[in-house]
Amino acid sequence: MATIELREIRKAFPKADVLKGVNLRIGDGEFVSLVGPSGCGKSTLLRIIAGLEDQTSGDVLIGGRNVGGIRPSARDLAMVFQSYALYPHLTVEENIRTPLRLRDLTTTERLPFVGPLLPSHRSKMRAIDAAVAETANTLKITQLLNRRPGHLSGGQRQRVALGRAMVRKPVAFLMDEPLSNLDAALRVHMRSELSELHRALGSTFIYVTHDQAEALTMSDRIAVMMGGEILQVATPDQVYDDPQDLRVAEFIGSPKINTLPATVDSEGRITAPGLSVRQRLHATSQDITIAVRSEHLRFCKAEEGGLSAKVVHKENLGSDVFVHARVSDMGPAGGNRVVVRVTPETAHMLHVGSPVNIDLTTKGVMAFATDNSRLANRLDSTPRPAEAAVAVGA
Amino acid sequence: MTAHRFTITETLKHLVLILGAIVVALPFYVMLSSSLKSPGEIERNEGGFFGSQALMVDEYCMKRGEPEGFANGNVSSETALANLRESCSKRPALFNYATAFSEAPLLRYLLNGVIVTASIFLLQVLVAVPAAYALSKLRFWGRDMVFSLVLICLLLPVHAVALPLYIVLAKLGLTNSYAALVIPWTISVFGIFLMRQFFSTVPDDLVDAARMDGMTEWSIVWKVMLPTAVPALLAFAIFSVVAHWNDYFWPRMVLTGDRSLFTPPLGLDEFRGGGGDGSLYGPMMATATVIVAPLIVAFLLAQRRFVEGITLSGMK
Repeated sequence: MATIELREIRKAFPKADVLKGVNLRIGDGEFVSLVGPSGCGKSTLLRIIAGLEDQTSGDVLIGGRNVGGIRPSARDLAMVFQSYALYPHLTVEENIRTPLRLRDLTTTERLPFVGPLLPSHRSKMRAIDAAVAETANTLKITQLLNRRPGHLSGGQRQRVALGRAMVRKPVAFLMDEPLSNLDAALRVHMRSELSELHRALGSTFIYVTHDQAEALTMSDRIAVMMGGEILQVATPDQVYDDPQDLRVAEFIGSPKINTLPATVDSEGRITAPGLSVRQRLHATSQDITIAVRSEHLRFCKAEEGGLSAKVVHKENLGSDVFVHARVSDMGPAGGNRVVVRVTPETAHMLHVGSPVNIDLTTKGVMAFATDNSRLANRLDSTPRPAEAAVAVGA
Repeated sequence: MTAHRFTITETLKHLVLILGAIVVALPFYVMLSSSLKSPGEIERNEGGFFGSQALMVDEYCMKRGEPEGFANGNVSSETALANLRESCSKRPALFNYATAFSEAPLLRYLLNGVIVTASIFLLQVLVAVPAAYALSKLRFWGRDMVFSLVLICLLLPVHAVALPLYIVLAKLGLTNSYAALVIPWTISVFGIFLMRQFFSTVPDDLVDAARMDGMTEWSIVWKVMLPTAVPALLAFAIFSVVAHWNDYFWPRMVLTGDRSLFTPPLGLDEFRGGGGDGSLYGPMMATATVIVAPLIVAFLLAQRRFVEGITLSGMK
């Protein structure tokens, strides 16, 4: 168990800066996801924590100890790889045993023929075998111990890889997209299993993924990375509901958040084409982008106003339907695609090509400046539920 | 559907392949057949594959059993000669193979061949595997340049450097020794290249996992990379062993006197009629058959290994 602290980590390759000064504090026993599009530097950051790669500058502290120059195995971390990276010529049991053998046995004890004759060897091997058996039991892979990785399914290999990481009881687990090679159903299943494992072990988990759903479902906190920087570190709720950067808002959440061009006047009032935005901003007199999640939009009657659009596609997920519509106003928002999440009953009445009018629900919009930074609302301006209900009723 | 079975292109393809197979197999046929026939049958090219296996007189045996006195031509020596002739009569196949082993220390040559090819292969692996690992999985300054040098060395024929190599060995006083046969071949650029190409297909994750588990780079090479590379190693073993087992050129150069160091191909030379009594093709072909037999057996065994292969499916 340990805290992990990253201070101003930079990584420069001859052609590009992969990490541009990353700071992050991960608490003891916390599950933190590093999420971002491919090439954002998240895997490099994980490899730097593991010691598989050297940072150009900055410090990594594990349990308060600066681990610069310390070998990967001496950092007492375990890593689970996307390709599982099991030793193909060893059985499952030997795979899981390898890290313990290397850590607990001396070089002489590991020698073939000679090693087993040493008096210390037997007691140590007994402890190792017990640890392997316990791990196999936890992961329910006892019946696979004598097989080779080549004869296992993807999910089974995943468990063995987890077992190899768990068996040494490391201070922290590093996971590099461990679920990406699994099929969709198994991936969803493994998400909950990983969360349970995290709760049971109480260890620090650092989890790298490009899948925002994995990050949202499992993490205590999410660090959204882009272009070698961490844009926001917060709980899944905060990252989803209160993103501090337009790129975070666009990356997190599926379907992608709707964005529309808007302006703010000298009093902080937002003018967005068609939409009745009530909140006011501290910022004044500039072009902004407003962002609104699909579940915070609704269809309204033509006489209520709203954004007029045409349905171009319906995406049926069973419990919900995402209706894609193209804005038909000639204003600055013209041609933008907007996704509205509705119930299947509402969706039944709509067809591809139907003209619709779209307005906000009671929840306000999020406003972002042209440099992607979030613009704060004036506290008094957020619509209160009662007020909003009246507004809808009118 | 049957129309697909006898198309002109397929027939042509098979014709070409059959012709190729005949071209490749014919010398083996001649070798094997000659190793079974009497000298007369070989010269007159008769007797089919096995020859008639009629009794023939072993001239070597006659020479050994014929004391000087027989040349005088009296009756008792005539009978003795007839007796000797009878005791020296053999079936051609037996004669050829017995002569192969008796007139040249063929077993000694075979043993030399095993010692030399095994030493060469082991040393080549000892050099090539770590070198290939470094070239494929470690990042260091000048790696690409070193690899280019390996590729350039692949283009150089051994004969181009044979003379300088010979001079160095001669100056070191190493000619006429096992060292002379082995040392020049310990660094195989082909081996480095082949293993490097194979190691490149092994996921980097596997190496990283081994590092996380606490393996040193040295144990990664031998305990992780080598076991995954068994198919490549076998392929390399075939190239290396065949090349050095069959090598005539280099042993001929560095072994000038000591027959006890001769490798099997040099043994063939023993029957190349140096003594003025013409070439003895039967024993020569028998020697050749004995020399290639281990290779053919080894290849057949390794071929099965190839097909089974140790797949890398454990990693993906």
